[in-house]
Amino acid sequence: MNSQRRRFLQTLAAMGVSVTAAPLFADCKCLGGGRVVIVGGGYGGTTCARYLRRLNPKIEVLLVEPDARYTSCPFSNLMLAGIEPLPELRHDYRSLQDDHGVRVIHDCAVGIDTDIQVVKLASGAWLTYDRAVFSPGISFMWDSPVGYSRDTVTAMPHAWKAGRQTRILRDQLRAMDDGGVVAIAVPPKPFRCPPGPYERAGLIAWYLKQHKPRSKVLILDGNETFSKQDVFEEAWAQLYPGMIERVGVSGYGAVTRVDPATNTLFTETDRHRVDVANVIPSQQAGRIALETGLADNSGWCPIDPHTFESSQLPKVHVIGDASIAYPIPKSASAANSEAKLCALAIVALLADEAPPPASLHNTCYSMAAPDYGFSVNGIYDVRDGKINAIDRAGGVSPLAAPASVRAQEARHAHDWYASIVRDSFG
Amino acid sequence: MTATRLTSKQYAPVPESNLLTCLPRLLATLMLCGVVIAVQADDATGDNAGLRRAQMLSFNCFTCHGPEGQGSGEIPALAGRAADELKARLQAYKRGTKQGTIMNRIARGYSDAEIDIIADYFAELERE
Repeated sequence: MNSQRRRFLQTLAAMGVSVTAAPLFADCKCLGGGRVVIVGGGYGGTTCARYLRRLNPKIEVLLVEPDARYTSCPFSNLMLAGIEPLPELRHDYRSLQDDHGVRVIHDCAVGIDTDIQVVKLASGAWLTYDRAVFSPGISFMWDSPVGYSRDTVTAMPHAWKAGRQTRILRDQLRAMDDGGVVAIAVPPKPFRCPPGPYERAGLIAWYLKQHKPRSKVLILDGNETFSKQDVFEEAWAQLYPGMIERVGVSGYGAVTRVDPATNTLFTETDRHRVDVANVIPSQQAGRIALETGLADNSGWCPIDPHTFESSQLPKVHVIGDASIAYPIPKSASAANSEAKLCALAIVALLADEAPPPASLHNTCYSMAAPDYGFSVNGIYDVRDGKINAIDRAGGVSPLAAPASVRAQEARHAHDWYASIVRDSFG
Repeated sequence: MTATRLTSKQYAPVPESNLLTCLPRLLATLMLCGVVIAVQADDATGDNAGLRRAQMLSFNCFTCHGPEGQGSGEIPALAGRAADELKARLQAYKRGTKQGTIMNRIARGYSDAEIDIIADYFAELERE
């Protein structure tokens, strides 16, 4: 409630009138409503838009997204390996607009003014809001590793934002001769999709085993351990013996510098001249979060976990990969869960009511082959103002599971993908 | 659909924050009737809080079990199933008497009270 409205109510109260908008005024369009501007049309932004409309159709929801179509990072590793066609990764915003009443604005957010509550767009338009939600995803830290920049992403694709980059990496894999080395350079945590580089390694090995069986995958890792490590390593040993080699940070695996001209990756102690170099650079929150001051010195956005409202800017929420939600990983599933929490909180706050107690969830499936899947999950609540992983819950699929269980989880991965896409994009 | 019924119940109009727009009607009513209206602002809050808590817990199931719990491929639908059946299943996963691929790891994350809330919520949703 702004001060003008509050003053007005105080005046009425002084007159001895206790006021609310009782059902008498139920046809007042604004009741319980408000206007929410959402920036970013990935899994976080779309889910938040859809759930705000589902929870209260009186809320006007504007979704700002420059692209007409979104290309999903989840499942893009299957596309790299030729298992899933690219169209399966593409999702548009028509259903959100036509079926769910979200106003989709294909424009780019360039700023925010929290005093007058407007999001500013590249076209010059200003969108007023009662609450704003930023779901800007990640941006790359250029020159980390040294020599890696916008100009080198074609020679050494990151493929860590799906679409054109995914196709470039796939085409390089297809063009490579048998006996070649594919390197995957993994940045230090935190980064989007913690199990992603390792799923990629396995699925590239699956492709190579069929088409270029003398080839190898080399993981040069800026970390010592990784997500679902035991299950990944068990799968690789079973499916691709001798094909995948990983060097962790203690073995000087971290890539510090690249030379795209010679396709060479440098670590502190070694140089690796490879045939395909998939360099995943270090990451931070999406650019708009850095420019608006939503991100702190860490490059990510601190939030109040009860509502995902920014600790930096009032009435602005940050969800998805850009937010600091540790120990929740940066995943589509987490963004989807955070978006629902955020929508529930905003609906309550717009009605001057308390947000419900936070409950969050993450489930990430990974594949080591088309019929070999496993999962990691977590359930979270908020205690003492911090996100807490409920320790008796969550975890990773068991080691030494029968092939039938791995196949079942691979099918579940497909069903999960179909479900989360509908849950987000409508 | 039942979900819609629940949400419409939730949004019994409340907030004073939108008063300005409603002001002309309010003043007109006051003047015409000469009545002082005294209504508690948080009439509907109790109900809303319960529903929102159920939604906070249950919406997370939609990620895999399909929007509104309608199912997705092999991942079963939850909407419209008997609350007692859902409670028994979730408890069996939680206690390990039934083995799933992932559901044991999920069910252990919820208290018995939360399991009841989730089961009751899905029982109220309609299977399309």
